[in-house]
Order: sequence, then C-alpha cells, then structure tokens
Amino acid sequence: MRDVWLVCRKELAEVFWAPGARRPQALAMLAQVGVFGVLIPYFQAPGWLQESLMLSIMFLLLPLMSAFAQTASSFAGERERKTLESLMATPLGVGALFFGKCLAVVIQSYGTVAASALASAVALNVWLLNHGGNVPFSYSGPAWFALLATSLAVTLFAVSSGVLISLRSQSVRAAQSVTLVVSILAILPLMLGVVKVAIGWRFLLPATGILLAVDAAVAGIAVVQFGRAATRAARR
Amino acid sequence: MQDEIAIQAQGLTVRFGDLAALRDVSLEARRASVFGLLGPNGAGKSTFVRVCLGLLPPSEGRVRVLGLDPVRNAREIRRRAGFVLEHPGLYENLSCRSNLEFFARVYRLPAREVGPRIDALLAAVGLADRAGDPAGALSRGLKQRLTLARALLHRPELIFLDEPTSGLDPAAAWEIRGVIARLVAEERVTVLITTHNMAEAERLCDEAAILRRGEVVKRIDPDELRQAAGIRVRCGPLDRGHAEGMARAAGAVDLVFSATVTEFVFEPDRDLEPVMRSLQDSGAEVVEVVRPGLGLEQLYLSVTEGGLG
Repeated sequence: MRDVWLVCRKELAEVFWAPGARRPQALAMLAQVGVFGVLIPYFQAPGWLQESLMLSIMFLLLPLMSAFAQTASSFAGERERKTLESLMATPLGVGALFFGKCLAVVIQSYGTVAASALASAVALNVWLLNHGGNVPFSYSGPAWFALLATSLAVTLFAVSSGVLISLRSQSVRAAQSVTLVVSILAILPLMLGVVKVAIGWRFLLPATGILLAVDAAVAGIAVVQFGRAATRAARR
Repeated sequence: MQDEIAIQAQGLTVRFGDLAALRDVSLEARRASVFGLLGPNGAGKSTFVRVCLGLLPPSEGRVRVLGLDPVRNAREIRRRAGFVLEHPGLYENLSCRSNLEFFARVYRLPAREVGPRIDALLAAVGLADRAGDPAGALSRGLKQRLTLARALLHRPELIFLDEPTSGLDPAAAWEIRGVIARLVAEERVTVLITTHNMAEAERLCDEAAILRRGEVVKRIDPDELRQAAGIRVRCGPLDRGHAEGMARAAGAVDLVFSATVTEFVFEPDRDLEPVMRSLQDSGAEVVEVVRPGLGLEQLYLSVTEGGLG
C-alpha cells in the first residue's frame, strides 16, 4: 500500500507541483471546474434544476475524457519516455506501479468531477437567490449518490480500459484518440439516465452496479496485461 | 570464497526464439572490484545485466548475484543493487532532487537519511547547484551524472553500469569516467560495467571479459589490463585542479595521483610529441614515459574480428 501511494504521489507531482509539471493538464482541470461547475450551471440554471444534457456531460463525459487522457499520458507516456525499464529494475512491484498510477488518475478525474459538482450546487443556489427562488436547492440524496457513484464507476472504467488501450498503442496521442471513441460508445446508455436524472437515478444505480462489476473485470485483465508489457519493456 | 564473489555465472544461455543472446557464459566478478564486460553492440552485454537484475530468465545455466538467484530473489537483488541502464529513466519534469527523493523512498531509505544522502550525492556528481532544476533541463552528460547518483542512493553492494558513457561527447564521457572512478573508490562498491570503449575499460576495470556473439571469447586478468593500459606519462606532483585542466587540454584518458607522482594516461597509439609539448608548456616536469604492451584495443579487435557482434 505504501508503494502504491508512493507511485501515486510521484504521478501527481508530475502534473501539479514539480518544477517542470505538466501545467496545461492542471490548468485544464481548473478550467473544467470553472466552466462545468460555475459558468454553465449559473447561466443555464433552469435546465440544471430539472434535467440537462450538461449534467450528463459533467458527471459522465467529463471524468471519462479526463481519465482517458490522463491514463494514456501516464501509461503510454511512461513507455514513450522509457522510464518503465528503470522502475522495473527497482524493488517496486508491478501491482504497486499499476495501482499507484490508476489511483493518481482517479484522484485527478474524480476530484475534478466532485469539485465541479460542489461548485455547481453553489452556483445554482446563487442563481436562485438572485432570481427569488427557494434556497437551499439540492437534488435528492439518492440522486446525488447515483450521480457521484456513476461518475466514479465511469472514471474507473475509463482508467482500466484506458490502460488496455494504452498498452497496445504506439504513442500517447494514438491511445487518446482510440479511448475517446470507445468510451463515448460505452457510456451512451448511462448518459440517457443522467439526462433524466430526476427520474433516472433509479435506473442509474443498478446500471452503476453492473458497470462496477465490469470495471473490476477489466481492471483484472489490465493489471495482468500491464505486468506483461512492463516485463517486455524491461527485457528489451 | 563464495562470499568474495559478487556475480557468478555458470553455463548461462539466454535465447530469444532461435537467437542465442548469451551462449554458455561462465564468469565471476569479485566483490569490491570493477568488472568490465566488453564487446561490440549486440554481443549480449545488456542481456547479461538484465539477467542479473532478474528482468530476464536464463534459458540454461545458472547465475548467482550477491549469492542469490535472480529468478527467485529478484526483488532482494534489486534492493541491494543499483543500476545505470541504457536509457536514463529519469522523470523529466521532476527536479533532480525530487527524482532522487522518489527513488530513495522506493529503496526504503530511512526518512532522516534521505536529505543528507541526496545532498552528498548531488555534490559528489557536481549537481548541487542544479538540484531544483527539472531533470529534463539537463544535458545528456548531466543526466547521466544524476543516474549515477540514483544508482548509489541506497548504498548498494553492487552496481550495474550498462554503457554509462554511450552517446556522450568525449568531454562529457571523460568527466563521467572521473565521477565513476571517484565514487567507486569512495563508496567501495562492486561494479559490473559494460562498454565497447576500451579506454573506459582500461581506466576503470580491475578485470574484464570480452563477449562476442553471446560468448566469452577472452578473459582479461588485472595484470593484462595493466599491461594493456595506455601510455603513462609520469610527472612530478601537481595540484589536482591544475592537473585536471592539463589532462583535458592534452587529451588524456585518465589521471592518477599519488604523493610523489602525477600520472597522465593516453591511448596506446597517441602521438606523444604534441602531448609532451602541451604538458611542458603547462609547467609539468615529465619524469618518465611508460609505453604499453599489446593495447586493450588491439586485444579486443583481435578477438572480436574488428568489432563485429
């Protein structure tokens, strides 16, 4: 567990606080919170109080795209930058490497969604206050739970399937292109549930349960494939 | 006797499909020595290192590293060994210090030792003033210095240096060899170095073996290495900084200090006339010139058929 956290911290440092950090990636996350958590909810508040395509974008597409991009950068990037061989020659286990990297992506992507959700709740209440509506407003507890749980399941799906695609891709760019198409096709049914969030959360919960089971299976395959790929990289 | 051997290979064979990267390799590297694995590209040097680190399983034969089997005890060997592989494997957007901190934690260095150890190693490899710079901002030579610091971070008993000066310009390679020689002496670590650079082997190694197409074709003992070493120009005692400047200007491959003598080493086929002039112009008093027997380069070429893998 200690090694998983060690790898995760290194990954986060590479994005956020290292002197040569990938600042555009960090700024993109901040921009996502600003746009999907503040601007759009505020200026399209009536839709957000009921149901909205934007809601589905925030809770599903956003983590999906973000997680895929970061997974590709982390896994295909490690191979592209030829750092995997060095890690394999240390006492770190393949499992620690795999789960440390995945955890870092989940923290970034899901963190962005959670921050956007929180910001949107504030933005909607500010809008209601300015327009004489009833405050405080919130979706129901089960709806919040369904949205956040679905979002987490989608993030995990993006990470585990993103690893599989990244391992077969020649470069980070190629990995990102393929993962985006696959992901959108995979979550269309869930998006319909979120669009109708007021009535759809009942549908979302079982769907999320199924997706979590799929996540576990894909993650299992991904960790085995990653182990093989890492061993191959170290042997070259 | 077993405790004196750091690496022991017996009948080691590694195959990739029909291709044998190593064939029946048997060799021993003593502890606290620098063992050179010499040979042209594709001779199997890197494959040998990968087997020792447990990254590749042997197809036949056996290897013991620090008395351990790399197949069964890979993690224990990796805990006790350091490495410089073909690619630096540094995180380019982390600072030099953060790179070392990450690997210090990977090697479970006690927290209170991490800072002082990193400071000492950065100073030793001449990167103290670049500690906060991203590794990606360093030149190839400086990156190689950082990988050397990383290799020594956890005070390993053994380090593997796989072509440590490959791709460096002559000046950077010269400096890296100096850093390796000094660190090896200070840290008293066993070293297995692979190279096709004979000047490097002459300068650093106590013993060596030449590999060709995966087979050991020649073992070179310490006496042979000494005899094969280049032309030695012995001068009176000189200030270290002054002598290093003179060595660089004159194109020496090595510099050896003692209380009474400063010895400049040149490649065996070096034209000595401009060298002597350069040294004398710099104020060195030349005491003696010792010429080598059969140079290591010639020895190498004679057993590798001109360098073919």
